[in-house]
Amino acid sequence: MSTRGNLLTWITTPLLLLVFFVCWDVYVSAFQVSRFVLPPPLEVLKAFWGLLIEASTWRHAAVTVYETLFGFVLATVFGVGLGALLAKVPLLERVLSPFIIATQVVPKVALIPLFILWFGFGPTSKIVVAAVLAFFPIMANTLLGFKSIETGHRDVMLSLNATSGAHARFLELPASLPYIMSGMEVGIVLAIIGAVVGEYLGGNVGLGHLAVASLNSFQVDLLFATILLLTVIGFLLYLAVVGLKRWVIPWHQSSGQVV
Amino acid sequence: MTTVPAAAQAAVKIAVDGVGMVYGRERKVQALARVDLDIADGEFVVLLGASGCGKTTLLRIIGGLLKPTEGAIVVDRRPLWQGGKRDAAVADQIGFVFQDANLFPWMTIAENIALPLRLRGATADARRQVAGTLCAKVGISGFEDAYPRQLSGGMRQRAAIARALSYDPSILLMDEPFGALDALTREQMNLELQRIWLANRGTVVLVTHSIAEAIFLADRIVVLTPRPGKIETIVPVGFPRPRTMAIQREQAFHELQDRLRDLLGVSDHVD
Repeated sequence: MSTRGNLLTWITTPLLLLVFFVCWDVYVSAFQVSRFVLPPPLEVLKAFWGLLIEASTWRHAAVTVYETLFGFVLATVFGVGLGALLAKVPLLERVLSPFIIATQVVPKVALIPLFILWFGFGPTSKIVVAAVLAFFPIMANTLLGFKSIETGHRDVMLSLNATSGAHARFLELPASLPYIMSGMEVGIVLAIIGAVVGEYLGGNVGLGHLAVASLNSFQVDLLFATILLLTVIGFLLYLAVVGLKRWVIPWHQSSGQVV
Repeated sequence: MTTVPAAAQAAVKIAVDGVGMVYGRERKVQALARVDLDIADGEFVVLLGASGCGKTTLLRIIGGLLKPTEGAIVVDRRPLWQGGKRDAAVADQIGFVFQDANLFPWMTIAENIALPLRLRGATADARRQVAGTLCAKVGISGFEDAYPRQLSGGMRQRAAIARALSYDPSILLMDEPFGALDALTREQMNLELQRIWLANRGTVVLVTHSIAEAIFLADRIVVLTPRPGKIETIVPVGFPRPRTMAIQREQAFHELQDRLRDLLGVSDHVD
């Protein structure tokens, strides 16, 4: 992005946020919306501040982040591994692809009660949900990355008599990285969703649990504050993956900078 | 075999021995019919032909990127293929330059050039040094740490040539290396290639469909005709080296050009 474009977003983003909050406030006071439906933004901000200075919040947040990251790392390891394996062994891809597609057609969120049954109410079941949700885009993108390697690049390695190990290390992996990183960008978002929805349905820690608990005790401002905190954490995790991408593949166009 | 000219008394470097290539299993397409060709050590041979005449197929077979369905490639009296496997010692003798530079975008120019050395386990210092020397040799000094996308097409192709030279192969195979370049850059690259070759005196086999390029570069021009690909004739080119673009103004150049046009079946008629 050009510096001018960067400058523009530094102005427009806070401005649009401000407009959003003002509209929200005006709407709530003009239509006398019940506080149990939509509290005014200032109250939400107050609750948000209360949430931030409350020690137990950070315990909940830490659990959610832990589940998300653990699930995400599992998804990355297995996604990249299986994606690469399927790309290298086309026969295996043909044999397994109906099953892989089947696991994608199943509404995975509907399986969460099952995971809780199998893995208990603790963090393990949430980690599994996060991993299962994040796995597929990472696997599919890795497979696509390996398959998108240019024939000319393969010819170079072939003409250099490269071993399959050298082929993987110097060509296939670096060439697939932009694809893998795109899969990871989608994957981290899905991992957060997996962890939070898992927490909605079982257990007594995590920001997902906090949101449900706030709802059950009619603390709607706290519910909104929790959602806000989740948004901020999700945003930070996403930015971390984008940052990782820029660091890992600075040469790629999607990193948006000339080296 | 009639393919070695009397002038070239040097040893046979590459023997193309009855090579044929059939693609496909059910609907067979014969890309090459029995091709016999001896290439002398230090010779510059150009494979010239229209699109689809099998010249790239022949080059890929010589380089071991394709296994011929019949016949054999023999380099320094050693067959390139031992059963189903390429002889690594023979393959190490061969450098390949493709129509596209095929540089890896995630590596700097120096890293790209030294990639073959990295595969052979050379130290970082040695790689750096060779890359620097080769950049100077092909005329892209100062771009060692640039990425390929920061270079023009001609410069990228220079880097690709440097990469193929990095491990000092005795044979350089080039598949329309300047086909993607504009006409001016192309002439410049022809001059550069001649300069590099005269300094190294390796054996070069270059594929092109440009008659002028073929005459400028070749010791011998192998004219291929399609369906199935076979050698129509072999034309020796006698201009002394180093050649300059001025040979294009000579009568002999035009006569040769006309002859090659006729051989390739290019007519002056407008139908």
